[in-house]
Amino acid sequence: MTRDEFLDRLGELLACLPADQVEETKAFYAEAIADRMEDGMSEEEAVAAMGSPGEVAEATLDDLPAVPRAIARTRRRSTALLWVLAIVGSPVWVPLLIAFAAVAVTIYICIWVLAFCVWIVAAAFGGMGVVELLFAVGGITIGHIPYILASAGMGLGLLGVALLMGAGAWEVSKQIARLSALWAKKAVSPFWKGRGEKNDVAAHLAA
Amino acid sequence: MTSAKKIYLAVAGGLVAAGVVLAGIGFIASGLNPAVFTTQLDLRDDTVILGGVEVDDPTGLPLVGQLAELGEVDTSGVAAPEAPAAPEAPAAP
Repeated sequence: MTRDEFLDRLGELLACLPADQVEETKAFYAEAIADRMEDGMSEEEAVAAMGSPGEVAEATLDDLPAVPRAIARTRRRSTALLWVLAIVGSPVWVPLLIAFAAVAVTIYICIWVLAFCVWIVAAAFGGMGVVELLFAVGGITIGHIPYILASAGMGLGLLGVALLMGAGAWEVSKQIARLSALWAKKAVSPFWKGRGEKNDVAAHLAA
Repeated sequence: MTSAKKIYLAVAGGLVAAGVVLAGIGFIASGLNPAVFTTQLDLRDDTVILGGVEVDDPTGLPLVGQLAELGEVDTSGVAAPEAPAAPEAPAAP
């Protein structure tokens, strides 16, 4: 089989996918074949090393996230079947999709509320410190030395704790930002896969 | 760790340490009286007690003076209206 025949057949088998995705896959395999030919393989050998177009098409579909994969496989059987299933099944999948989105957004908000709470605690310590310092000024007005020292000490101490908690809150926020990004990635994983991940799988397949 | 962060943590730690020392000195100076750490404002009878010492006139104390005035209703401008005139008794038939 020649390279063009392989790519044409692959394009036909992947017709259920969006055109740009088909072109991207074909370009990837065209490059992989060209690389092997540069390494000294003949065109037939390089094409054979890729596997059959059917295997490659199946591997490409398997590489898709769950929802696009199910849509593509259904579309490959029949586009009409896909539309019928989409319309008839809408009372089921639309509420499920809305519920899924609501849960995903709620968890995302909860993650950030956690970070917000840490900042509130830090701010509360700072506020208490300022109030204690004002009480110390009141102590100066009445001339109560031990109270001045105790209040000023508590005020400074609380301000120091607030600064330390601020540093902790900053670190927690950074971790939570990482966690929320991870969660967002996980939440969209049934629908979308990052370009880097897809290339990794394709590279692995080509190897 | 960057030098800015080191300075930040050093300042925070220094404040905590200075606070503990000052509070300790104040506690010792008060004769180990835990009341030195308390601030009481009783809005029912306008009593202000700072560190166990009652303040007669909290006016002018920062924050304490404002807190002591919370909930007070100024009634100085309110005057009792004149009582309405009693109706005249009906004339005997």
